[in-house]
Amino acid sequence: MFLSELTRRDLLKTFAFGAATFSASSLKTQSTLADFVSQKDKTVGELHDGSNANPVKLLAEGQIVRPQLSLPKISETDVLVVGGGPAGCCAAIAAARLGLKTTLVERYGHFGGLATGGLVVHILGHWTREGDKKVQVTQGLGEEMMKRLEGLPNGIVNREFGRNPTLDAETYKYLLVEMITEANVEVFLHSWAIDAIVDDAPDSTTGNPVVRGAVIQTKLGPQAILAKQTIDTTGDGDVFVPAGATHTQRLYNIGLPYRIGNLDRAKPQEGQKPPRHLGDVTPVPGVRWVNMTGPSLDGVDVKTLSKLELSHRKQIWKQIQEVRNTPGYEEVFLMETAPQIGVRITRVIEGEETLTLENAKAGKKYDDCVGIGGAWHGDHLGWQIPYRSLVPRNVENIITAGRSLSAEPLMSDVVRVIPNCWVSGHAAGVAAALAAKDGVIARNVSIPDVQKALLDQKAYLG
Amino acid sequence: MDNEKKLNSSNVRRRQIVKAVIWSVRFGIFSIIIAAFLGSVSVVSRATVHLSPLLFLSGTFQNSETQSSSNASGLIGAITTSAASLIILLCLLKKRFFCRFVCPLGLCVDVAANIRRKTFRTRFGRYGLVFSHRRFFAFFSFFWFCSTAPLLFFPEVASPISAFAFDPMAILSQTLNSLPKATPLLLIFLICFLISPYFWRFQFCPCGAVQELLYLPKTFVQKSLKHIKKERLHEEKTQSSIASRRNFWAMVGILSLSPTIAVSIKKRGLSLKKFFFRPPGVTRESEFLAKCARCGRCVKACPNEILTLVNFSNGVNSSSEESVSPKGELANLSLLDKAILVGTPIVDFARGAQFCEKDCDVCSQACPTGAIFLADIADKKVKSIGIAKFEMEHCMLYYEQECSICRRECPYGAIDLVWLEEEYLELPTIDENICVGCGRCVVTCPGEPIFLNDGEYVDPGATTRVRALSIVKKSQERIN
Ligand SMILES: Cc1cc2nc3c(=O)[nH]c(=O)nc-3n(C[C@H](O)[C@H](O)[C@H](O)COP(=O)(O)OP(=O)(O)OC[C@H]3O[C@@H](n4cnc5c(N)ncnc54)[C@H](O)[C@@H]3O)c2cc1C
Repeated sequence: MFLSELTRRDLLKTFAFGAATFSASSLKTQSTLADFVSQKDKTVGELHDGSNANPVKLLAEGQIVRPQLSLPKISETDVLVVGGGPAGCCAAIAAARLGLKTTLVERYGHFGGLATGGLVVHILGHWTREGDKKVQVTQGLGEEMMKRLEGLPNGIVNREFGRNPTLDAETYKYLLVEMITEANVEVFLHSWAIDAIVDDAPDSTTGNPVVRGAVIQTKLGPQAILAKQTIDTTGDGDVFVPAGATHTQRLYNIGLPYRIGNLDRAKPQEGQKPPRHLGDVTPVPGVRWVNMTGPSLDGVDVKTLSKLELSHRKQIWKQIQEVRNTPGYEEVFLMETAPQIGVRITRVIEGEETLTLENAKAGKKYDDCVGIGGAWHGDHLGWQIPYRSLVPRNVENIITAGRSLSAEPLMSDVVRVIPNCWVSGHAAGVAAALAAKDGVIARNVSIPDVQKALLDQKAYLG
Repeated sequence: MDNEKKLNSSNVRRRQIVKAVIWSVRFGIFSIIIAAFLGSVSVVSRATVHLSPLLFLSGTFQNSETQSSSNASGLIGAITTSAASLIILLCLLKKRFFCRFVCPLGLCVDVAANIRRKTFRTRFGRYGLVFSHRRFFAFFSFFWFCSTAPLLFFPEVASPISAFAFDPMAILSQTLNSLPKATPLLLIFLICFLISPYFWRFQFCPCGAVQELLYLPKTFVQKSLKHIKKERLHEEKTQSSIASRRNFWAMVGILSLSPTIAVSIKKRGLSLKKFFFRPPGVTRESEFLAKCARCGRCVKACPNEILTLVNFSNGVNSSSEESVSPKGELANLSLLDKAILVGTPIVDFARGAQFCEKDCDVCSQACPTGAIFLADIADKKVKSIGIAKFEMEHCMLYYEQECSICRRECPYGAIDLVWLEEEYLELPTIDENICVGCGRCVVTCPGEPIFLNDGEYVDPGATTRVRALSIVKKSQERIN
């Protein structure tokens, strides 16, 4: 193979070149595709003799080891956001809007995480009850997104006061691209974060390890992104875990949502009870999305995920046949299954403060409140999100947001819904940006400044 | 501003005048009655006694002897009869007319209470020292009254322990006749007064009971009129608690009209039991029916307003149309059953979407008779309201909706989601050893989602919902 003939120097050069082309013209800013096209047929690197490849070794004792490798740096940034789900996108947009160089890494080719690729499109819980009134506690970027979706054809449905709306996954994917490019966020798609980069020296004040960025896996091998501040919004703690942050790993329901079509062509009899697996409405006429709870299992275990994919697909097929066998519903068909399996909760950070259901119900107040979370069906009052629940106890310069926020199990269940991820993501973005700007560790960011910046960005803090 | 002040002061003046008139009328009537009692002609004093609605009615309906004796004296009889009839007529229109305007003891109580309040307020508080023992006294008085009520129909055996003797007019005439004989009566009266100045009037006085009964028809008319107007919830609550006292006396009245009902309570109670969710702290229904004073205090005390009283017209004073209470079944009860159950508290989870709070036992504390009795909070587990029941077909999860509200909201952690392979679902499962039937899951369950084909989607909880969770009686309770 040609790679085996490469010299070590050549390899490094190759990586550096790759990095240069990437950062020069990537999806960043309003760049045109013409930049890309012009590079067609160019040779990348000179001689691919593969001599300096550095494969993983199988040792005689049966141990499998990865030899040390010096990594190419693909980017250096102020705020690195890993994971482009609802939380990550809000974080990146918020940080970039504060004028900092922001980089967003996503393993798939689109943004939105479970809300798009996971086909979870029902926006639960951005309302709470305050006395007799219903209050929308999800403001700021979340509200901006919903508002902008409203302006797009078939973007969102049921957006009415006090109701939980449903968005269209594809429209939301598009909107996120629009918002992220607008905000000048540097983007790396098809990049799996596989490691954290930690400074050789611990923080002088706390003695904790300091995160300096993350390593992403690309087709060209692992590459490094250096950052002043890192936000892990992978939902699974893919960066804070290797960084050494204490966390708990949980079993939770893993399902596989899907969409069905042709519902507008269904011809049920007068008074006929519709079949069971019709799911819920989407903004697209004739199309519905069907959620799936699934069993509670380990969402970071690849064997489990593989087994579930196989099993869920059989079940979905069965459900579709059940619908199609109902008189009047013969034309219903399976449009698509979620490209991204529905993993709800896996690894949850152990923050300086842990959210508990009891505190949430009691309406506990925090000095460092950076957002208000909502309830699913207005079933209880709003609860404050303290900044400290985003901050790990024992690692510096990495914070989290979204479903991996520090919370006890029953509280994680509330934390994880999309609007609450918007809110915590927004807060994380602002906090990391200000920490990077002020040159302080994330833990010590000025809370009044964060709160002020959030309010400037129309967030709701109660 | 000035106008307002003027209006206010003129209002105050008017109220003062009305007060003065009422008091002078009361004193006038008082002196006439005392004069009549003290008058040398015993016919007059004997006739005066029958101004009491209790004695008059029981005399008219039950005891021809008393009746003839008052009739025999011609003019005096005629005057007393018409005066008593007038009083009864006024009692039908004005609540406790006799108590408020005619009753000489009532006047004494009011005057004494006024003095006591002014003198002892700081030292004894409003109810005095014995207040803490009120529960015991109410308990005692109710049993005493119930057990002697039937004696009203047999005046020949009416002894000093009979409720008959505790009519205010009877007490007064007894006192004026012979003080020593009346001493026990007066002592009891005094004790009552010490407990609370109005304890006698509202808890004890049998004549008050009859007046409450007389006022019932008007309440019903008013209530049904008000029902049409659809009052607000808290108004309804006040209404229902007022009605509860009436219901209590209605109950007492019915007891006195037919002693056989009292006998059948126990038997009926058992068969009726399945309809009700009693407040926590109730174990045996028959015992509860016997102990419950129908005073409505628990209803007033319940901070979450989940208690309501069984009433005559619609079975339950439910504020909501939702089918989480056994209202429908109650409405179909026979008159006899209703008579027994009227005024007793039941749990209605539809009231204001509330539930029985975990750390609360105020109903038990408010209960004067120990009908609702919780030794402590932990006792709620033993004397539970019922138990939650889950029906898959009404569950959000069954229709592929994201939900786990019941598990999250259960204050006792009795609900978990458990994987059912054949349904390919995780569904709520209730731990029967932990659930106390507090109803939290019932009121928070968003219920069966209403999804029309592809048209309108109705947000669960927005309209009437069929919930996946309900409270049922614990199975072992159904038996005993
Ligand atoms: C089946 C199901 C049903 C749900 N139903 C609802 C509902 O009805 N309403 C509601 O509001 N919420 C619902 N939720 C919850 C909600 O969808 C998610 O909790 C929410 O989207 C989480 O947002 P997030 O940004 O924290 O994480 P995610 O949406 O998971 O986003 C994480 C992102 O990070 C990326 N990523 C992960 N690992 C890496 C890596 N190593 N490197 C690079 N990128 C990475 C992922 O590709 C993804 O884009 C449901 C969830 C599931 C699974």
